[in-house]
Amino acid sequence: MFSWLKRKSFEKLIQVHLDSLMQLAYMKCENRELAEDLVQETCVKAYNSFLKKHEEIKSPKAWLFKILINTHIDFTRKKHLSIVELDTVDLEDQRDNSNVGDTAFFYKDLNEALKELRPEQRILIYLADVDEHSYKEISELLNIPIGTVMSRLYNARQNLRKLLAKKGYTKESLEVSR
Amino acid sequence: MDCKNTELYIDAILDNELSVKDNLEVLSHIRSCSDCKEKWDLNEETRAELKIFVGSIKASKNLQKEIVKKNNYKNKRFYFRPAFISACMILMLSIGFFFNYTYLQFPQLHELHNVVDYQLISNDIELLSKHIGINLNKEHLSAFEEGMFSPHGAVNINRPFNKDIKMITLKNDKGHKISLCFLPKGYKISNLNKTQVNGVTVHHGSKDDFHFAYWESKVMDIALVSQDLNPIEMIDLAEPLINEV
Repeated sequence: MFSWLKRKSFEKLIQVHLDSLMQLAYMKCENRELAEDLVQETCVKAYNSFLKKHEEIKSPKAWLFKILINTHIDFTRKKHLSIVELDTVDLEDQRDNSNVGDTAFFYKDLNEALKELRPEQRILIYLADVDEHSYKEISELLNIPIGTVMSRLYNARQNLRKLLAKKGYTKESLEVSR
Repeated sequence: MDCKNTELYIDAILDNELSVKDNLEVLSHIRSCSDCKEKWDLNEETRAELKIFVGSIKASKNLQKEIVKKNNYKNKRFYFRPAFISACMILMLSIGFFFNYTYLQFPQLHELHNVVDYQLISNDIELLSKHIGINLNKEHLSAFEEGMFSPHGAVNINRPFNKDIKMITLKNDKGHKISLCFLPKGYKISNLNKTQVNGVTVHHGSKDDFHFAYWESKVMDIALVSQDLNPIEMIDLAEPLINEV
């Protein structure tokens, strides 16, 4: 395939999966700016790899996710990144005057609850609950056995529920927030 | 199916990882148990909210542009570099070739001898010498005159970035021609014989149909070229000239 054709098809691929990459990066970095940097770096690596072995790529999304996960490891090492603060929410100062049921505050609390989870738990929750990967796919993506995926996912969800419960969220309040 | 097992299976059902049979069994329990139903609803709600929240994180419009730009640049840089270097090399070689052969290299003596487009045609040696800017007079060419050779024409060969080559042609009535060339210093002809004339080393020899003689003065090299006279005959004619100009 001509290089410009490869470039075009890579651009198309990125266009389709960019939001998912951004979401996964956000779950990794907890910060939009860093997440964008991570996605950019991932795309550069992915592009180089795509030019060489585009025919071997069977599941583009899983392939991109894998590159992002590996890039994040390099990224963290290179830039000595620790887990940084979440993006601040503008409504912070107004918290005292609001109700738990308010959607914006719910998402802020959800964000905070996610932040309190360990990064690997956050990634599991994202892959299973948001991006709806099967246990097998997650196991392949993270290079861990399916049993480990299941037990870690169970723990991650339990933790998230507990954290939300601590903040006063119940089934009813969740329904109200919607 | 009891409540404890059901709790474990709720996530598996929502993840579509349970067999149809187990699925039906768990769902049947959930329908009949209000506690498990509440857990089911809570899990479903949490998951739905998570999807909405995380799903709302979108890549900025600039991000894709940046990625495309970065990869385009990388792509261009990858393919551009060798092309650019090749183009530079070709250009440099062309320039080198052009200057080497057109301007830098001295013309061969036989090429000078074959020049016929004189800028000034005259048999007045003073006029010709004035034209080429070399101080020549009748005495210098007295031996040529004795040999029936008289001045015919003069030419200045202008070379960019280099000193000019000047030439006066002498002819006799038989049509024999001798070219008197004034060359910048550094003109070298290998494999020539040497003769001492008035304490000056005169190099002489023949190549193809051409005969040469040349010597070095303080500021220039002077050469004689002819097809009709041999080098020794030319040296005899040039004797008054040697060491004088």
